[in-house]
Amino acid sequence: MFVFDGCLKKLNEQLADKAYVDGFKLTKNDGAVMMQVCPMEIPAELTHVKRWLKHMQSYTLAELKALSGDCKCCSGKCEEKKAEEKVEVDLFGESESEDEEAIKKAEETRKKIAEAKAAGKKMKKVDRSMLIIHIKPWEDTTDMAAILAEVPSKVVMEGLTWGKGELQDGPFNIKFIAIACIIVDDLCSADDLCESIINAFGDEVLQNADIVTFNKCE
Amino acid sequence: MRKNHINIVVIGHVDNGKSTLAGHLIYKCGDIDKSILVENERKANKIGKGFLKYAWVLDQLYDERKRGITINISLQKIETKKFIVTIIDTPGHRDFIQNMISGSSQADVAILVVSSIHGEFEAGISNEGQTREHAILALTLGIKTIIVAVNKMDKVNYSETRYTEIKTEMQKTFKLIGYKHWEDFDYIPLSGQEGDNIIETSANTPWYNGKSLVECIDSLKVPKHPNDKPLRISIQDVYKVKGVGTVPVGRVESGELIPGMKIVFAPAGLNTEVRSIEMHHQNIEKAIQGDYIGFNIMGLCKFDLKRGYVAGDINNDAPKGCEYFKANVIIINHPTKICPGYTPTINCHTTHITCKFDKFLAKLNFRTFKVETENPTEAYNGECILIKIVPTKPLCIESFDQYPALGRFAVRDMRCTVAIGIVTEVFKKEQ
Repeated sequence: MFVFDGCLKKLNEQLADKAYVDGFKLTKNDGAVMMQVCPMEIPAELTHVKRWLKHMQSYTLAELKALSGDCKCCSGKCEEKKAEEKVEVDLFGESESEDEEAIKKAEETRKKIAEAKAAGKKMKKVDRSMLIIHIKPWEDTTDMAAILAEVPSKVVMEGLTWGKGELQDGPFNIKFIAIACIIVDDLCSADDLCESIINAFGDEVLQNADIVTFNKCE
Repeated sequence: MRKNHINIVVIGHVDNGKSTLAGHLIYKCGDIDKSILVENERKANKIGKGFLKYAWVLDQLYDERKRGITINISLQKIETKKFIVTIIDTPGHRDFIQNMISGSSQADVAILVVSSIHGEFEAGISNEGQTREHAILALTLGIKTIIVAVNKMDKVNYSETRYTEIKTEMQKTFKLIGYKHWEDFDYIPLSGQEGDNIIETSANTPWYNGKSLVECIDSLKVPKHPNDKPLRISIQDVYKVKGVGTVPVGRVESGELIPGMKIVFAPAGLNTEVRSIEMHHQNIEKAIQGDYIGFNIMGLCKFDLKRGYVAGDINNDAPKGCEYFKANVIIINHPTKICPGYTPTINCHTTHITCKFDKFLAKLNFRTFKVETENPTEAYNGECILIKIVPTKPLCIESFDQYPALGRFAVRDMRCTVAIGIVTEVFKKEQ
């Protein structure tokens, strides 16, 4: 991040004969500056910054938060560059119900993802939701652990990514699965997802797959 | 003492800072370890969006996915002095509203985020904006209390004039929409990015003598448990358990259930007696509203009962199937228009059933619910219609006034939520 280069050098000079940003006492400034320095790539010659950063990283967040002193933070020179970005949150679904519209949207999203893949690691913004789903059997004797192990491989949809799941205790010895996943809003219908979970194992084995939390995933 | 659990949904117009605020709350009150935060900050800064860093906290799952760490289900929870709070950041997914109406993510309170930046607030409150729309939806969902977060105060120099202006405007809006307690809502000038007035009151707003956001959450009244109301349990699953028998599982929507009670399952009209109740694998002597319980019953097998049934006390306003019902239906997303005879699916509590919109009785004013036109012949997006609805299969539904959780529904057609509705009157089948 070239924008900060000058700033880092200045910091290096400052830290050359001092232990901390404000001298010899650990203050809030250190925490604040650290938060900004952390993500940067520090050139090898800035040894003082490196030494200071290594030291700072040994503190826990709680300790950093508890620090005293006013936060002046490089007297504002290190102000983060604020790039405005359009966050397209189409809350409460203004998505058009016409099939064509939905298909078009899905196409666009697909394209976005493909582009992102082609361009390397930088993922462009695609609206996603995070779900936690409870998967429930009919009887207490069903081997839910085996089902849990198979869910990610048996239930595959475009735009769906499984997280980890666990077995939870229901009333009367019933065990059910709680599993998290992320879905791309325009590609993956929550209804379809629940249906395909049931279909993957058969409705004589599983009775319900319910979404217990439905949350936006930035 | 057991801390009460409440669900808070964060709503507001696009770009008014919902995610940043939700992220900041979780970052300040939640239990997030340092490495994750630093990691998130690093990423946020790398792509030049330092100001989005708190929104990035919520992004944790996405990163975890790559690294294969267990997803922390407690991530969205924060703990205040009085409550354990689940924060729901509203997604744009088209299936979300339905989930919110019929699912378990029912919210008790909403934080409505409005931006104080000149132009942004006005855009949100305009007819095309989502601020007003969300406030109406929240009311329909049964949310009675709203905390208004006047966000981005740092961008308007913490101006008191601007805050007062927004407050007055929002109060007018709430009153018009029909909130009963609009005068009691809190308006907090804050900054989701800088953290002003989120945990503690900020020195940047000396003119503000109200509470911070967290204090505000703490001062909420404990969600009332109307145990004096008759019992209603919406059945979600029915199990067969070895050595125990048939176990229906569901949520107590009102009233209380104790072992030995004689209950009836509507709409089938099956009578039975409760032997024992369990919650989280533990035997309990009494189940109250909000409890998610399983109970052991006599004489019925798992094929007798179905998801969508409602259990209630035989001797106290026993639930029944309905002949037809009347409901205020707000059309939110239909490609063309709807006419009498329309037969969509209705998702209500744990069930979904095809219902016929038999007769359009009146077109109502969106805000006051006063009759505008009698017997309309068609309805378009944004309109509110009083409709006589006839279910095609047995259904147990209640009026919204009496049993809110059983009296609201989502209208689904072509896999979309076309409309939402609240039941005003139910004509029950006599059995």
